[in-house]
Amino acid sequence: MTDEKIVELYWERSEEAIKETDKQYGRYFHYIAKEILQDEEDAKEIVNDTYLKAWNSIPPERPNPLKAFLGRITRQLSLNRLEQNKAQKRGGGQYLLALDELAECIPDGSGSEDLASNIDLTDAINRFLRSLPIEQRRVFIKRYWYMSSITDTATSFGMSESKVTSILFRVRNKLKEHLTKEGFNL
Amino acid sequence: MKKENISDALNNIDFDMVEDVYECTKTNKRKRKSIWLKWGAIAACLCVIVAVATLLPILNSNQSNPNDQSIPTKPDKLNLVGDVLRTGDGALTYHTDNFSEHTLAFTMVLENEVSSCYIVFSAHNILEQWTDNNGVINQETELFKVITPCASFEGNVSYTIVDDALTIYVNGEKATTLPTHPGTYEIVIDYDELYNRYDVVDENADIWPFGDIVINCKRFQ
Repeated sequence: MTDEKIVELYWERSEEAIKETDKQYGRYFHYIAKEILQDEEDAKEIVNDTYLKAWNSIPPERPNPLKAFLGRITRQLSLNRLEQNKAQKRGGGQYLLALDELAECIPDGSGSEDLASNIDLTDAINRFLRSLPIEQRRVFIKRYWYMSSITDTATSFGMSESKVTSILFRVRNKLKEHLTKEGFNL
Repeated sequence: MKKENISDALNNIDFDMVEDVYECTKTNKRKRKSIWLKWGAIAACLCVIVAVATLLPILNSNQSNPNDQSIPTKPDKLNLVGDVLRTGDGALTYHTDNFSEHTLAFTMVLENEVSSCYIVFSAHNILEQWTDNNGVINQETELFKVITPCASFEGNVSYTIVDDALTIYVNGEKATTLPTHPGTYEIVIDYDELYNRYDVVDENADIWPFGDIVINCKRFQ
């Protein structure tokens, strides 16, 4: 079923919408949540929460593509769950490690923290990622979007962990340089 | 700016790049293998395998030991017959058939005793090739060299010995080195493992080796 038809089902408040979404993208959303949370039960809950969020936000939203819209929601819900787990001292290790690594990319000093600034930042990161060699881009996204561990990232791409670490190190440095050039700063 | 900001900004990056990673990791193992096989096919046209029979000058009396009967009195000859285009000193070959199977097979005719015989795999890696936003094609290249173990190698330090990167079979038997005694040998070089070991040689390299395999012999000094 096409995204358009699934979204239409949401608009009609038909529960088929959830079933179709799960059929089309359930496995992928589970992958996202599992990568971040490293817990099967948590991942299942997050996928269900994603559908609930979809139910509550469509309408008025009419997302296109649906997969991207809900994929981002899955990631954000997973990260929120990690924060909760962290507060309850349950895991969150990879997320915190990845965040600490990302902190290296932030230019010194503080820029604006408003929404507009974040949109600009996303655009800048998009430009940066598209300028990267494909392998480096994939490793970066696997680590910082999916929040995968170094070990999992290495396994996924058939690389050694030292190679992944080395790529991430180089890309973080390049990103910092890129963001500085684009005025996120300083 | 807090580090959470950059994480939030990442959440909204173009989703095609995010999906690409998922698709890639799902099929990565198969894909990488097929890339290698594809390379093998392309390499059939592009790769040059150079078989070099080292021709050392006849040792003069100052360099040679007159008591050592093993010193050859004529230039070494290393003749390769099989997956070669031309044989003899400075043999040059374009491999056409077996390259995609990751092996080289040839007959080696060694006329004189040599102190060592070894293989150097020398590869120019295209580390990455990509088109940037301005439509410019970029690439990064590096050179690495692998040498098989041998009795007395006095080569360039930039060579890296990777013991199991190249597997040598001499007359059907697995061997650690190429033969050094005069004779005719059926040699098979299996370089399949090289693909899995390139990170030992250069952890940042991706394997697109437009390379040569050089077979060298050294005379007794």
